[in-house]
This record gives sequence, structure tokens and C-alpha cells, in this order.
Amino acid sequence: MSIKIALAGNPNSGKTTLFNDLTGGNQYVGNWPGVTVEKKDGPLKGHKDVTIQDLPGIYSLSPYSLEERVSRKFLVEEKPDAILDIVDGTNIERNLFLTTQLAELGVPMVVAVNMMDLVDKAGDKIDFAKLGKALNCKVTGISAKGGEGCDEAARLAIDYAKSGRKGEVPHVFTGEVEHAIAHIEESIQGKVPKESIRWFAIKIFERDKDAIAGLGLDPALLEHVEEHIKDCEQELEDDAESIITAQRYAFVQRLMDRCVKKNEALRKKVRMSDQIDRVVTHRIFAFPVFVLALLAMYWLAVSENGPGTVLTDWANDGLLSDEGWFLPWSQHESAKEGSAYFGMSWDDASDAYAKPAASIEAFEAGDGGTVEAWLEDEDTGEILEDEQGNPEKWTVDAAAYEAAKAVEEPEPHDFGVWVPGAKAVLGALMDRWGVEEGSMARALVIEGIAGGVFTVLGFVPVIAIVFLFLAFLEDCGYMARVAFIMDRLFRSFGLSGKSFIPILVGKGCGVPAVMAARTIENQRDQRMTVILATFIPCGAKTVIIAMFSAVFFREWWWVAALMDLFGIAIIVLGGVALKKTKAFGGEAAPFVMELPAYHMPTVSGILIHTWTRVKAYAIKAGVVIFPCCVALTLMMTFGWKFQVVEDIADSILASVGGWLAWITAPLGFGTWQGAAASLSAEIAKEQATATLAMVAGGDGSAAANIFAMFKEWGGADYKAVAFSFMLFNLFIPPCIVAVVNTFKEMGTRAWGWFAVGFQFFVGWLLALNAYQFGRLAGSGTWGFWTVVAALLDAWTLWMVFRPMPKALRRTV
Amino acid sequence: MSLAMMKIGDEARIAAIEGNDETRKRLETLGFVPGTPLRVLQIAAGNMILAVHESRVAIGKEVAMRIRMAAE
Repeated sequence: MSIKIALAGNPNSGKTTLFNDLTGGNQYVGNWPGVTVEKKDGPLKGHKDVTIQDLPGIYSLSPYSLEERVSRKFLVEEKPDAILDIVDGTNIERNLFLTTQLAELGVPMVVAVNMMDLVDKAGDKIDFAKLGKALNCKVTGISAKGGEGCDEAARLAIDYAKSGRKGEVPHVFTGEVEHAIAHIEESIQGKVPKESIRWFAIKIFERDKDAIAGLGLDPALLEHVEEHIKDCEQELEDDAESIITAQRYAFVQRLMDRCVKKNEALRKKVRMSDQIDRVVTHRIFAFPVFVLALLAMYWLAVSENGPGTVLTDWANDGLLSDEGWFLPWSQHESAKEGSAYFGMSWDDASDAYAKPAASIEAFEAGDGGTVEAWLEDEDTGEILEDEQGNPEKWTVDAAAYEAAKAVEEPEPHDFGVWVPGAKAVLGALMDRWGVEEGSMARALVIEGIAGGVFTVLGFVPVIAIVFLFLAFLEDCGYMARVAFIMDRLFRSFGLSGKSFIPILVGKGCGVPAVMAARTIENQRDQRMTVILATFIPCGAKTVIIAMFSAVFFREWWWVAALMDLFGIAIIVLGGVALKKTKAFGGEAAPFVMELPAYHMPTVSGILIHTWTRVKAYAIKAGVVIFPCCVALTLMMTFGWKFQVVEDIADSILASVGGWLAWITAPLGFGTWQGAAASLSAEIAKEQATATLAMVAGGDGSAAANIFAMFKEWGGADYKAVAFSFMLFNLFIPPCIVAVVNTFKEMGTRAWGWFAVGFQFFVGWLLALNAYQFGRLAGSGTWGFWTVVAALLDAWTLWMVFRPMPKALRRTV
Repeated sequence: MSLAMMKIGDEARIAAIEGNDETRKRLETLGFVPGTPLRVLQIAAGNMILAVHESRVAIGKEVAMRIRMAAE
């Protein structure tokens, strides 16, 4: 016989922890039918045929929010065999408010009082037996964080489900209200399930149309009942719902007096959580504290000497490169007797060997005659210069070549423990399999596929740090404060502070960001937040920023910060403009939000939280980027008749890019390469960097090749083109996964297309401005599109700064 | 006296909440019913953080203005 247990409770009561403990992490996550509310269920571990159905965190069973309606629909219509109600022991009154409502459904219920460790520490005492008797439920204590008591609670629920519920539903109400409800119960006898009759009677008293819709009650009966309700309302000078709520809390207070003894002495001490809030939400210090937190994140993730950059450089130049890296502690000067490099460091030895190496490479690339050789800057490909500023070149003839070959080449393993990079290993494998250097297959695998994927994987350290930081902020409770801190600022342009959380989440990834907008009660504001949230550069977009900064703009921490500022500016100005339209106009919903107590997240908790997201990003590299690179490489190698093309301009990719190049032409990169890279970015934003590396072709490093390619496109204005390309890919609609989720959260296709259209317009216009005015400032060139840019800017500025239309003016 | 006029550290009981809309229902669900004591923990640009029983609830300035407190 299969048993279904519903898991209910307030938000922040530890329900998720309990659910994970009961199901062992084994869960099925989807959506409740027809709504964007997450539905989660899983088998109870160790028991066959017992399913735990997680309900959304709710404060009450009223009809006002989607979560509440979904929960009560499930409880009433699908009749679980038992309810496991989780109550936060450090916040009992408010949690018991929901408990009284659940109890009235008449379903066997176990109340699990969570956070007993904190309750004990506070010195409070809860009499479970008395509480259970008063509520006619079973009550037990648990500490979900440590997994204590959870199995016991589940077992109680199963036993109770099997034995069935006996006895009456608790009588919460008094006086005329109780009298009226009893009367209503009589009138609906037989028309509703026996065990839930009290719940329905109360719903009728509260005039809850949604709850009683399916009952098919006689309108005459409802009219008659209405008389009684009105009498109560007049007598108590309040409306029915408020009367019910007030009496519930009065009942809860009586429960508290009888069953709970709080340690008042300890209570006098100011709570740690409140002490932290004194500073963190302070009217003057709150914003600086927040900015400091963000700066800390920047420093860790993208600053030149911070862990993010150091690790990413190691990944790009060592771990995944075609060279290799030393185990850090093993690196030493050469101790090889008789070697020319005895006593030198690896760096010095490499520098000493640079010229002979260049001579050899240049001569072998030629046809046996005298050639010219030079040294190049690794990143830009520019030729190194001598003291007078002339490019340092020298000639290499056959004799010089032999001489160069005779020079001892420094061996890495004389200088420490050397680990070859992934590309080098691949190269060695290719040699083993007899795939020749310079052959198409080799280029396909190493430069095309591996090169593309490795470009992306190299940035995992930066992404991981951002995710780690956000995980900490969420788990410790600070995120909720952020909404409070930003509320007045956001309200000045028509949104509530709750719209800021999705934006902060979006710094990691846009997909959870658009989902986080569900907490916004007002659908209009929710839609607006979904449209705007993805303008803040996400982890993948940060990869684009990182690469472009390294190649074109040198130090990149300030570029990252600048792009965040751009994102915020778009969100604010975009919000202001949208608020002046009929579709989005109107004030934001009043701000009411619970602030959960701060708690120190467990190290394992944060690591799991972070690892989930990092794993998704790394898996993306294998599942999305890799096939993408394969497809792109194939499209680059073959023409439409599936013949191998000599000139890449005849390839499939070139023509596909060509079809779209007209869109990017006014932006400075109307080439098939630029268009193809941007298109590929829609699959995953970081793919743009991989694609650019692939289509740039040429020898040398990816950075050097891309640099050369942009120089070819833009001439003297190549920096404007680079900036334009970067802005385009950062601010047009996000990757396809995020777009799909945007459509889901917006509700209808029409709204989804509006969101995408809005985002495309913004990204395109920004890039247009960057190129047209960058070019004007640089080489002084301008044209038709410069004028178009100016006109569109004027229109946009008007949309933002025009006075609020009369119809939407505030009525205060 | 309106809640909006209280200072940090003040404590008083709720008398009534003006208006009869969803915001009021949400507040009541969170424990803001007549007779319940509230303590002001923080005020920032008119928005407030209040201690209600053991929980902490943040409300906007416009919401605070609608909550009438009992004179002590």
C-alpha cells in the first residue's frame, strides 16, 4: 500500500534540509501543472512505497499567492495520507499559525519542531505531549541540520497514516465566531468530506471563493450564511478574514502559555542576528557594506593578483596549454652538470633559448632558403623591438640554422617536476597515432575542438569564485537584507527592492535569476524584473569580458566592473522607461518581507551549493560547447557540397555567418566570422570566445590570432570594434537556456518575444554606439549609421527621461 | 500613533491596520494582529525592520504609515 506524506511548513523553517535528509537527495523536481511553482517529491529512503511530497514554503493556506493555492489544492484534492508539518522552534508563534490551519483539514498530522538544538541552547522548553493533545496531532522534536529525529518523525507519520486519525479537530475559535462556524458546519453536512468539514466551514466564513468553488453549494445557503458572517463582523468591528486570523493568533498564544516556557533571562540579550543587522541594514552604513562585499568578490574573482586570475592563468597557460607547468614546490634552478643553463631558472633559460628557437622555426617554415626571424609578444603577436624602437629581426641562412640547432635546448625536467599541458598531451597522442602535424585531422582536434573547449574550461576558477560568493550570501541570510537595503532606491524608479535579488543572482547565472523573480508578488513587476535581470553579466559573459580585456584592454578588473555598471545602468534606465509605458506603469507592490535569522552556513553546505553550479558549468563544456566546437569545426572545414575547402571563406560556416552579417555590419564586425561567433554565443555565451579563436585561424596563440583578426576588420579603429563586439554579446538576449526560461517565467509567448526583442534592441544599440562613436572619436570617420545611432539614442533618452504620462502619475 | 513615527528601540502594541487589502492580509498572516507587541529594530529612509514575536519582518515606509499603534 503506497503512502503519500505531504511536507508542509513556513519558508526558512528547514523544510528543504528535512526533505533532503528524508529522501537522501533522491528527488524529482518539476513544476506544479500550469504554474511556475516548483514541485518536488521523492521516495522516503529505507521505505518502499512511501513518497514525500514537498509543498512550497507557505505562511498560510489563504488564496492570495500561487504557492498557497497550489498547496491547498494538493492537500484538499489529492488527500495525502499524512502531513508532516515542520515548525521552526525558534519562531514558534508564527509557525503554529499555519499548523492550526493544517490541523483543521483532518488529515493525520505530525508536527516536527525543528532547530531543537537552538531551542535547547536558548533555554526554552516545549512540552510536546501537551502541544500534541491541544492540536490533536503527534508532536516531536528534530534538528534537520544534523539529521536528528528526522527518521523518527517520518516513522511517526507513517504509523499515524496507517492507524488513521481519531478525535476532533482543535477548536481554535471562540464566542460568536465559533458559534457561526458550528452553524455553517451543520449546513454543509454531507456536502464536503467529513474529516475536513471544519476547514471548509471556516473557508466559507472567510468568504474564500477559491476554496469552495468546487463544492457546488446552493447559493441560497451561502446567502443565509452571509447573514451570520455580517453579524459577527458588526459585533467585532472587523472583517471576517481578519477576525479569523486574530483569533488564530490568540489560540496560538494560549498554546504558548500552556505548552512552551521561554527562558526570558537569555532573551534579554540582544540576538547576534539583530546585532549584525544593526550595521548591515543601517541607513548610512548598509550601502557601503554592500559595495565592500561586491568589491571583495571582484578582488577574489578577477583582480590581477587575486586567486581567480592566478588560477585561470595557470589553467590557460599551464594545465590546458600546449606547453605545461611545474609542480609549484618542485621548481628549482638547473642542477645539470655540464649544461649551458646550469644554475639558471627556467624562465631565464627559456629567454636565453628564445632566439635560437625562433631561428629554427622560421627556417623550417621556409623552403630551404634564407629567411627572416623575429620574436613576438605572446599575447598580441606584435614583433618585439630593440632599444631604438626598431623591430628586431635577423636573417637565418642554412649555416645560421645549423648553428641554432646545435644550441642546447633547455629541458623542463631539469628544472623541476614538469607536467605537460592537455594540448601538449593531445599532440603527443596524435603523434602516437601517426596523425601528422599540419594535417587537417590534427588541426580539427587540437585547435578546433580541444582549443574551443579548453578556452572555456580555463575560466572555471573565476566562475567558481563568483558562485561560491553568491552561495555564501544566500545561505547565510544576507540576500534578504539586500532587498531591504535596495528597496527605497528601486522604488524611486518604480520597482521594489525584491527585484534586486534576481539581479544579484544573475551575476552567477541568468537561469536561476529569472526564476528568482517568482518572489515578486506583482506580475507586472515580475515580468519587468525577468526582462531586466539578465543584463547583469553572468559567469559565462564574464569569460567574454576576461578574454577581450586580456587581448585588447590589458588589465581587466576594471573592465569587469565597468560592464557591471553598464548592466546596472541598463536595468535602472530600462526600468524607468518601461515604467512609463501603460503595460508596466504603476507603483510597485508594498514591501513586506521576512528576514530569516543569520546563520553561519556549513562549509559542506556552501561547497555543495557551489559545486552544483560549477559542475553544471563544466558539464556544459562537455555537453554543449564540445559538440558546438565539433559542429563549428566541421562547418569551417567543409563547403555545401561536403567537399573540403581550401579557402575558409567557401565553408558552410562562412555562408551562414554571411547571411547574418548585415545585422552586425553597422556595429563594425559585419563579417561572417563576427556574425558566426555572435550566433554561436546564443548557445552558450562563452562559446563566443571559443568560436573567435577557431575562426581567427593563423599561427601563434589564440589571443594573437584574434587580435590580428580584429585589426583586419577595424583598421585603426580596431579597439572600437572590439568594444562593440563585447557589448553586443554581453547585452543582447542571454543564452538559449536562459531565453527558454525567460519565456516560461513571462507566461505567454507574446511576452517572451517582447523580452527578447527589448534585449536585442538594447545590445544592438549599445554596440552601434560603441563602434560609430568610437570610430568617430578615433579616426574621425562617420556615416549613415552614425546618424541612425544618434537618432535612436535620442529616442531612447526621451523614453527614459520624458515626464510620467498623466494616466500613470502616482495618486499621492 | 502611526508605526512610522516610532523610533529605533521603541516598543508598542498594534491597534489596527488601515485599509483592507492584500497587504493587510499578508501582515496579519505574519503576526501583525491587534494587541501584538512590535519592537522597532531598524529604520532606513522610512523602511523599517520590526521584531514580531520571534521573527523579524521588514516593511516599507508606506506600509508602516498604515499601522496604528496603541498609546501606552
